[in-house]
Amino acid sequence: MGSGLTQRAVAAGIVHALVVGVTFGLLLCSMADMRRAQLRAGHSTQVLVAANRLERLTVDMETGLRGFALTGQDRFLEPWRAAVAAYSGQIGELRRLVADDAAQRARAERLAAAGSSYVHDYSMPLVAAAHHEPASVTTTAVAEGKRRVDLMRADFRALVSDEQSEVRAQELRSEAATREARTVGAAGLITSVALIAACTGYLTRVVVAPVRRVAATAGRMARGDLAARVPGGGPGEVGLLERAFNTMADTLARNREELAASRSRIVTAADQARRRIERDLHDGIQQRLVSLALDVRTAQTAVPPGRGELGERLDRLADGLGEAVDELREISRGIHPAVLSRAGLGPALKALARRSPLPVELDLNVPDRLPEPVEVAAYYVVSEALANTAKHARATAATVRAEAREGLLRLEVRDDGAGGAAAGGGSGLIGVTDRVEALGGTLTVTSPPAQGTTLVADLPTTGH
Amino acid sequence: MRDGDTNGDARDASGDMDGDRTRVALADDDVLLREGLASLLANAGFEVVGQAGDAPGLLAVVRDRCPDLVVVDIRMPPGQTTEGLEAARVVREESPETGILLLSAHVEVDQAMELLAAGRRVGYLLKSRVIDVDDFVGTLRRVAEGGSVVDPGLVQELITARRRDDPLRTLTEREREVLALMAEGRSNAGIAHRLWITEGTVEKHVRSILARMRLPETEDDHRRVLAVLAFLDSR
Repeated sequence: MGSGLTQRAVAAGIVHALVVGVTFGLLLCSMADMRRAQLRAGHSTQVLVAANRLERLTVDMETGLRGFALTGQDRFLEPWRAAVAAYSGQIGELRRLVADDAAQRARAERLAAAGSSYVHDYSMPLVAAAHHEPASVTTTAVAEGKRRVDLMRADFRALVSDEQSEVRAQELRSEAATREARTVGAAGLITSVALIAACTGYLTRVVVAPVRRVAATAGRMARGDLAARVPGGGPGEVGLLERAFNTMADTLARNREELAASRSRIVTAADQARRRIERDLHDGIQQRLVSLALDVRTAQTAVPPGRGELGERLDRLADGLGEAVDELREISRGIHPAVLSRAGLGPALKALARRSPLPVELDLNVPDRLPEPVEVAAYYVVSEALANTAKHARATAATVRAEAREGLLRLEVRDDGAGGAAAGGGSGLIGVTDRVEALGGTLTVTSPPAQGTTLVADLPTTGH
Repeated sequence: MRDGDTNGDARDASGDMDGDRTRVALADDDVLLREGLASLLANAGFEVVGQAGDAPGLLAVVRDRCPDLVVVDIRMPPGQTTEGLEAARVVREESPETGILLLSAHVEVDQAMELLAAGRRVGYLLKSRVIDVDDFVGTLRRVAEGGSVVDPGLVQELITARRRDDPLRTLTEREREVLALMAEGRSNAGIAHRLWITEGTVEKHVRSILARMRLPETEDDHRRVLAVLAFLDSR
């Protein structure tokens, strides 16, 4: 039976889902990468900001302290004091931010140590000394502060530079992730579209086209062509459908053949029965009635003189028997026309024409004998058609044409009457139609109003 | 009397010819009917020289007894179809002078024509005609004496058949009666007797009818029957 279309459809679905799933997974990864790069960039910015602030605080401390040392005025110490107060908090912030980067952390530690040393070991003793003895502050001491701060600023620059290169690296990483996401998305989209197109093409080829073929063949069968078949061998369920359809067509065709054969047998059996009845009437009852009448005639000769009234009664009896025989003959002719089985269709149709109450013109072109079922059917077609014409058509004349050629007997009965007749209805043509169809023939009646009625029957003359 | 159209007094006539009675053979498979017919014919003054139930039996009787006339049922064993007709053909070949009267349960035009074509001295009747004894005996005598007889029913069927532009429509009622009797195989004398008119009148009718129907005039009644039947069938 091959693999079912269901399995194929499920497999195609799974492949499609995998493609879509992988694509989305890769896209999500890329997005996560991008998010990570963004976070890192944000972190670096914070580090830079903190470093910047610390550097400024350092510069504030140095300039404040230098101003105080040069002037001795206390107001120059205000920035220094503010910077010293903020410095330890700010350096804590920086150390926290760079905690997970060993090199930066080392720098931060160094800066913290240098800052703390600058405040406690250098600037505070300097300020205390200046308050105590302003002249004690030497240029050398000031230069020492400048040297310390310059060292710290070099560390700040190194830290900032490192952090900036980290930011650039993150930008590059983010760009790569974006490119990757774009590529994965495009590849997934193309694969997905290609898969859908392939599935659609496959379904059209293996499902839609065969179903359309089955539908077209079903249409032909509906119009009566029971020999129509679809090519089998489609995959899976479509193959099942095609095989089931062909089996159904075989069954239908066989049933129709059987039906036709049984119809034909029934008609033949009925005809044989009618022939037998006709023969029994002629050879049995009619013969018996005639011999009884002869007995009566013999008895008549034995009537003694003077019994004239008895003789007359016997005479009437014999005459009555004769009339009964005549009636019987008419009946048996209606049951089965003996001339048909003896002499064939031509003489039988001539007899029909003679007995018709309408003038009937005959145009016969048939061989002496045709297969018996054909002769019988043809006889009844013409008989019924002429009877209908006489009864209903208000015609003045009828024409009967019979022609046999190429395995077909065509009968045509035409009248010049009122028309408007139907093949069905109450006309006896239904039984005749059954007969014709039992032989595989066709019967059509054309009867436009006021244009007469034409009946055409085609009977196959071969294969009986 | 040209052909012995004997009409209603056959019994008396045969009584006159006691020493030279018409010799008849009967063939019918129904014994009762055959016996009935035999006794009836004997009563009517015929000599029944033999009976048979089938065609070979009839041929044996004919060869053995040389009857003047055979009365044969068309349907006989074994086939119950046209065995009588076949037998009649053999009788006609072997003994052309023997008259043949075929009886049939039904009469057919083409069968009548076929039979008449075999020659004179033949008759073709519905079997039930035997019931009308006088007519039947008359028919037998006509055949025995060389005439040809066609069943009146058959002739009626031919005459009453309706035709478009029917030439018979130009005939009078009386002329149509004369034509029917001609078709039945009656001689002019026979027709005159049937219609209660003189033979001269009949001759006048006959000539007029034949001329108008474009049929050849002939002194031969058998030919006349054939011509009239063919005309009636084909008009």
